[in-house]
Amino acid sequence: MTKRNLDTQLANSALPEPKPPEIDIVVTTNQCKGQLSIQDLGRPKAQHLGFSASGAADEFALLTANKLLNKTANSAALEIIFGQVKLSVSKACQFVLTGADCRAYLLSDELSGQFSNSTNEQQEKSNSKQLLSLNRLYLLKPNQYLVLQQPKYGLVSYIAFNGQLNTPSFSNSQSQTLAEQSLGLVQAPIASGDTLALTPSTESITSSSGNETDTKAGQLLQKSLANFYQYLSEQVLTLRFIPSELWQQLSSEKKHKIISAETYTIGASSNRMGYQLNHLSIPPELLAQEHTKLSKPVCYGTIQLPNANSAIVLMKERQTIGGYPTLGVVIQIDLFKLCQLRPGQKVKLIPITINQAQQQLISFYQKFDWT
Amino acid sequence: MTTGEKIELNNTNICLNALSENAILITWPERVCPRQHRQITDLEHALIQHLSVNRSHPIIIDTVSAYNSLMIYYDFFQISAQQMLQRCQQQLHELQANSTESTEHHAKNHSALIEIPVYYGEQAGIDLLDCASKLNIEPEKIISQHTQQTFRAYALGFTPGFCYLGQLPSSLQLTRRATPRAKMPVGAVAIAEQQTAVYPSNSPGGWHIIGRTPVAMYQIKQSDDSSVERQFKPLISLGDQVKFNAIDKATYLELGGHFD
Repeated sequence: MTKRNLDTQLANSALPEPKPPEIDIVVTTNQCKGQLSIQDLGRPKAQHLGFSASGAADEFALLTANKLLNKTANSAALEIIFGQVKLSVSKACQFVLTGADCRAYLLSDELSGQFSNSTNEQQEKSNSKQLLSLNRLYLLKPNQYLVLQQPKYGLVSYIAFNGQLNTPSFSNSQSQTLAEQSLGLVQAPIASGDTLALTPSTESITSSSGNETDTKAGQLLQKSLANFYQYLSEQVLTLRFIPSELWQQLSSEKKHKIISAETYTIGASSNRMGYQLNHLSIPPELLAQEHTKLSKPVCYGTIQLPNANSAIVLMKERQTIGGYPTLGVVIQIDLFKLCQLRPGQKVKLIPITINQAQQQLISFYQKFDWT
Repeated sequence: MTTGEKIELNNTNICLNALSENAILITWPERVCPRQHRQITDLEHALIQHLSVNRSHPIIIDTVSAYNSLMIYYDFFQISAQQMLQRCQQQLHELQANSTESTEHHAKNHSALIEIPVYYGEQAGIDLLDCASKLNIEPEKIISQHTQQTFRAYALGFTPGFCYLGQLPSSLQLTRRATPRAKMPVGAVAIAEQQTAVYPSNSPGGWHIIGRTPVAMYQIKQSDDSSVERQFKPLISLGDQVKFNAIDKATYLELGGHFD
């Protein structure tokens, strides 16, 4: 290397990297704490310290958003449970919406008011607006609001921006966990009126690289994705699970009853931590014998049995160790769907082998070129 | 129907089970025993050492251990469940083959003695009198037994910084409260079944509060550079020895303790 080269390099390294100015995102919501959060793929490496692995409830939707924006798989987005959020930005920014369809629309500044409690009024407003499609690139301008209504189907939606949300990261993740908020390691829970900073990407996404909505195949794909959550809501979702030792101890008659005859109803207390399944029937004597056992580590999808007739499926904000007997572990790609179901909806259970489960998950991630 | 892959080691009652797509659970017999737990943490360290050679792509993502179990989260893109079960089994055999000396060596090098001052007065130990009547012993007896013994750190979990310590003498063992408290005070020293612990933060909890410590159960290291992550350091690490020392109210307040 010549001296001149070296000098230039030193001079360059001394200069701060030219960073595009940050964009302020202002959030307005009438939703409760924890319904709106920042999520990436979570912090699986901090579980030994007792931290929840956390992360996006619907990885399919988050990975789709990140792929459409040419971002890395682990990029953070806003996760919204049951819609009802309004966003504005200080500078124009590209974004995509994925997950449950919140019948979002763009509202120009002068028309925007406070959230109306009357759904009719909101309905009227949205009727006169052009509703935005899922999985498609849009531009949000400073004089506009991006308004998300309650989704008709599904529960969890994502807004991902063409840029990097600037919130503190812990163990390589910006994901927020409600039970860990007091530690102050990551962004505090988002409240109405809060501002989030975004470093915009230096490149804007063109529609050809960002999405394929202009082609016929692209339009079909988009339609099928949008209908996916409606389909999920109208069917009885089958949860495939890797059975536990307790399951092996059940009589074949009992096993048959659990998997084929019954559907289970999602309980009202279901949330990002766990999903409650009601109307199960496990022999109480089998549970009594398991209840005396010592607490053990639990994982994503663990089916806990706190009593003989209900189960809790552990979701993304689960604890690391648990004391209840377990029936097995629901496979991850089915958990990405389960999080979209609402209390009252029904699911079935069916066992699957570990090999099949691994193959399914590997091919799921390969679709996103992520290994 | 074929189900989850499982290996049961001969003559040891140790089970290896492919629990989920990316996790293997190894379980030992249902007992709280320092020697068995040392084997668990030894295996944990050995696996991390041997399967994280490639630092940018370690096979092991994380491990979580408890009283008689060890969960291993691994990268299933690199290794199948069957291969991972075999690697764990192999490591376990190696560990058993050259057990005693390495275990002693490990115990000496890795475990610390941590002393925790506790105010057991009635303003802090709000369940102490209730526990005494349930256990049918004097409150002073609970304090003396709780401070006499050295406890082992068996598991980290529940909330960050929460450490399950064991084993309580049978004279102090009580089932959990019928109704958990919505908010345990920070620093609450509590007992339940064969375990004792300090609540590191305000969290719900069903254990009986017998005292309170002014000592923080974790530290968060801040950085001036906002792009650098904060560090979380728990006071107690797995396998550590923990001893509680009784202090009076004045000392408790002097050390920064408070009452809610």
